[in-house]
Amino acid sequence: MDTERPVDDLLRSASRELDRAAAAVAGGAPPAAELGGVRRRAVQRRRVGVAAAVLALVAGAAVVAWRVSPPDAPSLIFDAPAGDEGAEDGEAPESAADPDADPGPGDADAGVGQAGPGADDDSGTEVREVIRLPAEGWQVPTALASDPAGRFVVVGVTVDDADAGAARPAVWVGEDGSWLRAGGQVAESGAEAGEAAVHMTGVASDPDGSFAAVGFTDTVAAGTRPLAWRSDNGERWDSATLPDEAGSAEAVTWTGEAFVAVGAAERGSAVWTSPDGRAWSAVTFAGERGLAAEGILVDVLEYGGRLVLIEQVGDSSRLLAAEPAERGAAWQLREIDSFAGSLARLTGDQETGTLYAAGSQRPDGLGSEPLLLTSGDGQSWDREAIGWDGADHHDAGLHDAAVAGRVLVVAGTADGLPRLWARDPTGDARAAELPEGAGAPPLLAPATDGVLVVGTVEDGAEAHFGVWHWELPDRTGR
Amino acid sequence: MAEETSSFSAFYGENYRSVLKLAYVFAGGWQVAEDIAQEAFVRALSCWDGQLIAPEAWVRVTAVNLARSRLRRRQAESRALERARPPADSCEPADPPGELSRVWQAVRRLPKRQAQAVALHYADDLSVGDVAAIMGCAEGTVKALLHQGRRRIAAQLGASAGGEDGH
Repeated sequence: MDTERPVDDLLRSASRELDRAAAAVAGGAPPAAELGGVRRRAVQRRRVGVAAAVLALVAGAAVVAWRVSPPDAPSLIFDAPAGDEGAEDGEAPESAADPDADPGPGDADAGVGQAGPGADDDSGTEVREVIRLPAEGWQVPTALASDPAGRFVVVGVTVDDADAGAARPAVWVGEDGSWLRAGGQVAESGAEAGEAAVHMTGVASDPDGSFAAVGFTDTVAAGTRPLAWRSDNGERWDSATLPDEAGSAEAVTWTGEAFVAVGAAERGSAVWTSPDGRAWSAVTFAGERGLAAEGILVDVLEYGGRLVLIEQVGDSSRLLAAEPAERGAAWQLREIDSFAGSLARLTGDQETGTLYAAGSQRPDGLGSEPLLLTSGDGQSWDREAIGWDGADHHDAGLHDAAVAGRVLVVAGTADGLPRLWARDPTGDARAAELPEGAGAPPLLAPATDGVLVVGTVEDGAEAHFGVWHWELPDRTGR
Repeated sequence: MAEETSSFSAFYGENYRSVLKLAYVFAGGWQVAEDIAQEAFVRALSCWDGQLIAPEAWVRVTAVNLARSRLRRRQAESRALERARPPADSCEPADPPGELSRVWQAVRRLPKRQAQAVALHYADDLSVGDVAAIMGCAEGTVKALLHQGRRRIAAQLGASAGGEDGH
């Protein structure tokens, strides 16, 4: 399969083929006046199909005591375009333009978020807006890091034209509560302006306050290629070169001795390392099971001198442990565990040594739910339930996790809306929503008395960069 | 009455092919897509006496809901049948083989709202604004959903570039 074409081209080709096929099929559609009779024949056809399956089973060698009921007339799952989300099977749909539709949850006042009904009390639920930076186009923050001096750097993309999938790199820098956008300073690593979609996906800082960022470019001519950048201060960036011509870089971290970036290349999952963010080399591995040829590494975390990696392979994820070696030598690699679902982010509590992995899972193949895994030793993992608000969200997942003081915080989306959830060591949990208009999966960073939440604020056809602070008092008495 | 019948016939003629395509994207087969599309219009007909403010959006939402409901039921039935016979190769509809069919398989595997946005924008050839109106959200949200959906599709297609469906 030619996966080097942008997905937009593939979808348009598929749509043209779909249209030609539909034209042929639609030619046999009944006239409007006969639609009622068509319904009766369709129900009968389904009943015959199920009955035939039952007869085939009964006629086989094994007789199964199993009763099959003909399916009911299809129930309508209300997918409310506006307001009333989560209605159950059997409810009739409301018009998409229903003027009486419930505007939905959330407080209309900017900067104040409402906790879900599962919150213990009102304290620790306020999400306060710090800043929003209006800009043309639609901003998508994708990763953030902070240096030892407390300067935050957020990387992402600006999408100007959803139809073409064009994207250009964007960087925002925050210090002492002040934020600015530094996107105009990012070198585009050789990609021709206007021809490429350039994405920044990860950023990390070393102890000297230098930053390394990674991402990829997607062009019709060159396909997808991993990219890297380096900056002394987060505002002015220079391009660096990763030693692979195809693939993508998804995340980067500082190990204490070097930057380590992860992603995928032609060979499958890939890892690169650099002492300074300028010169990168590919890592080779030794071990019982190598990296997946059809996988992609999406996050990496330093833990006790080793690296923990998330590798996505299809609908499953693997947690891997890698032990760095001297320059040029193969690293040791072993699998820790594998899970159904897409894990996205690793974080850890440095004080207790507890590790967390966050993502999403699709238990029935449709819809998704949050997936949060916890480990005290990096070897055995347990699943922890997320109680956002007690509702059964059909489309939910976690995108980021952080430990602020002793409090675990996760961020994600449910039914398209950004959500936050926090749990302290006593087990007390609380949830919060970002103010109305907030979009994009939020990112988290530990901050004074809580976390910084980075995301977007939608304003018509644009999405502006936004930062909020969620106050999370530590109730453990420390 | 005659006027209502005439207006519905026009609505049906103008929108049937689009709704059929949407149903196919989510159901994966033409026969079931026809059933779903026609069921959606039957339901629209039952509400045609002035109850539908935006019938074009209503019938599309209905078709998508029906398709997803039908797919869930077929998957449940497949799982039940697997208890009594060797497992089927897949619980998913059998698209005809081909690169472009894999694209629609990848769309079906997206989170619900991403799949809806991608299907409405590409399969139904609607503008971002029209998609936003149907989904009842801001245009920026639609752009976000399209962006996220395309990335997931790229990841899925890349993971199956070896010819095997690893999902």
